[in-house]
Amino acid sequence: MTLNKTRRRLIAGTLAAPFVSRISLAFAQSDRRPSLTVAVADLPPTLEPALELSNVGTRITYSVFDTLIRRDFLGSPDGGGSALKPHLAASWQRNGAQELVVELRRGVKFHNGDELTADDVVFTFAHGRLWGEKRTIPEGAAYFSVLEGVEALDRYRVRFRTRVPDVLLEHRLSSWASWIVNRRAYEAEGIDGFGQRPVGTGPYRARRLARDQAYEFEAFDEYFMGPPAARTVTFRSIPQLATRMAGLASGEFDLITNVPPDQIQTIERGRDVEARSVVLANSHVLVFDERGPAMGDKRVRRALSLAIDRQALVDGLWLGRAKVPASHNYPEYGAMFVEGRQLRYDPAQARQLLREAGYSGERIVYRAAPNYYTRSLEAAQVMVEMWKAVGINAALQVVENFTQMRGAGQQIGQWSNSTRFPDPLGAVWVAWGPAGEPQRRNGRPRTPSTRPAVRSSARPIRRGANSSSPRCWTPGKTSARARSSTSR
Amino acid sequence: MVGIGDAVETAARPSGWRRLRRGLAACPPLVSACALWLAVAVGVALVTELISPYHYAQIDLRARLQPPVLLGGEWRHALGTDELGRDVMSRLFYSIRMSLLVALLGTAIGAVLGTMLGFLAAHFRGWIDDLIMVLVDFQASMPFIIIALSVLAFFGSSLTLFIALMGLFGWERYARLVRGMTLSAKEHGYAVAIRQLGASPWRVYSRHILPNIASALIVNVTLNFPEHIILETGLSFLGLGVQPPLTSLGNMVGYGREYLQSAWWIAVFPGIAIVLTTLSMSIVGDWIRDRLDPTLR
Repeated sequence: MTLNKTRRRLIAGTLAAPFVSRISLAFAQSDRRPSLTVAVADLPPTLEPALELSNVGTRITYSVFDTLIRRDFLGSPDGGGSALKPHLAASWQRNGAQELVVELRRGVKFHNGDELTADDVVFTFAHGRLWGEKRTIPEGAAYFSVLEGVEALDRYRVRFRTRVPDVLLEHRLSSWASWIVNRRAYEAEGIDGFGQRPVGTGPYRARRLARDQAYEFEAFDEYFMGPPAARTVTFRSIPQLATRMAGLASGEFDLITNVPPDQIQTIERGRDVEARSVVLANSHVLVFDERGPAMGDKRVRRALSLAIDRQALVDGLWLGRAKVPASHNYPEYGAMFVEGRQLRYDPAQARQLLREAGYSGERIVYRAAPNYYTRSLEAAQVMVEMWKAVGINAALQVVENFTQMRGAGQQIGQWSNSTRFPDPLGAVWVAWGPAGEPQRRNGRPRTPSTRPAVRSSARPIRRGANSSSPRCWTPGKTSARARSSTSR
Repeated sequence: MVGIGDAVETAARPSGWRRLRRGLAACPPLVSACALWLAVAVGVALVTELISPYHYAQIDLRARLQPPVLLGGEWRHALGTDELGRDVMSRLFYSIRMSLLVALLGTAIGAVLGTMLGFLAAHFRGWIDDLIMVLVDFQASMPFIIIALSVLAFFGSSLTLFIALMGLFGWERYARLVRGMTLSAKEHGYAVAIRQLGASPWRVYSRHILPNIASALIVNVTLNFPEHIILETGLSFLGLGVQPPLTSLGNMVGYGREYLQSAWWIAVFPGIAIVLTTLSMSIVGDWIRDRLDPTLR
């Protein structure tokens, strides 16, 4: 049972889908648990859990930190469950629309031996860390700008108050920014030191962290859900797929991530190797920057989106194992999911729009990094050809990293958006809202009129009626491509 | 003065040609085979558009990873297709052109640059000579692939920058060779005589000294050219050279590597082309050196 649970944790923590496992049986003499080596395409620069909200960060964070409330992904067979379960919180109780009291589990230990108390929770959600004007974690506001105050009622009870009625607070507390950190260690180390020497309550404890190379963790046997199933877990940064595959075949790695579907057959030829695919709530998207030549015209941006045959990409590059999402609109939104919406492929209309816009062949460059997103360079080459087919003078520029990609002159760049909690506010808002990366980077909020309506609301029914809110987005500004299994 | 200059050249030229022609007749079969392959490669590079059945970037996602014709593939794609359904044969032709072009331009830039600097050092001596020789030592002591990797990673890769960088590879050997040989040639009777007759330094170096030291430079070119191909393919293999959607031999091998177990033809055909081209160039170059070196005759 325990083994089962922890293995599941590990799998959730790697967000590795499709991923491949090779359970090694290298038992030590005293500790018969295996040591796992996970080869990933990229590692986060730090382990400050709320700072590293990328997919490469989150798949590690799950092994080191816990949230108060746990979203039960496996409650639904496709791994997209959204029921909430007690985790570090033993229970929680609503006191009206603006107040939530959380009762902590007793006896939970941090990696440094401290007991988890209300103090740590208050510190984690304190003004100035995730919310407030001068917060240390800029993206935190996407999740917690709704907070008004967090206070300890006693050693094990914490009260959260929001500025406005908010039905999503429990979901926010189960999401990526809400990992509970150890107050003593965080105050002693500061945000940078804590990122190098993280202290959480999770099943694995940091042992040796070498940035860009390997992050090594050991089992934390006092973990409140029981001793973890592996003795050590090492995440190694192996950007090249061929190297990851070779390492898996040779037994150097036990798990590898970011395996494109057309390689699964090759990998499964190896003995005791098994591949599993899961569709994640993560969409590859294109970022259109309106400031470049020709990109300022909405019709050109729409044409760019209409010219992409997303289904052909999914069928050709993903062998049909990914899905084309209906824009930022997912079934887990529940009542706010709009049936029947879809991203269209219409080259004729794309040509028409280009004509109307008077597009005269200005060069439009798509910047792509080769290894971050699975199969993204291949997809980029295909999309450039699709754009050329409707008469856009498109070109591909391969860049080394995201700094080069986001540098001056970006017209089209890569990105991906995840659903961080099952609601439009947990998806499109955290990514593209004022605290999301594009608006922070460019320093000019562009969504003034829709802000109060979208940000929070007490009654789900009103929010259901407001389901057109994602339309506040300039159509064509984002074009979700393939709902698939990779990261950032 | 023109007369004497011409006389020197016309005296040197026929014997060189005759030597070459006699050499060609006595050319060993291996060298002929290599020369033939090089001729084929150059021919392919010259008429790529005419002989390629498809454009190198023409994608057909419904025809991905099709095997070559003898392994169950179709004649439509004689050497199979790659991971995006592009025709491997067409891409191979375009890649040969790209790799030869990059290597050729790189070699030419390096040869011209190195020769010029060598002449400058030999002509001016003094601190200019010292400066150029320090640059030569610096370049010779740094592994070039490290310079190239850092430049490309820092500035991002573009074809122009890449070719310019390739031009910087190997110039120091030309500079050293030219400087040494010019220093000795300057004291030879013919150079002294022409200088006495009032010829400008430009004329002395370009019309009289250069032809006389050219054989050593040609040999160096033949050694340098395959190294350029290897460097180009190496950097492209590492993802820092020629970037998609453009294609080159190293680029094909690099992106085909992931498919070595399932679709080997993507990487193996350009790999064969790399081996054959560099090997042929080296063998032909060795043979030319033997023919041109008077001490070996």
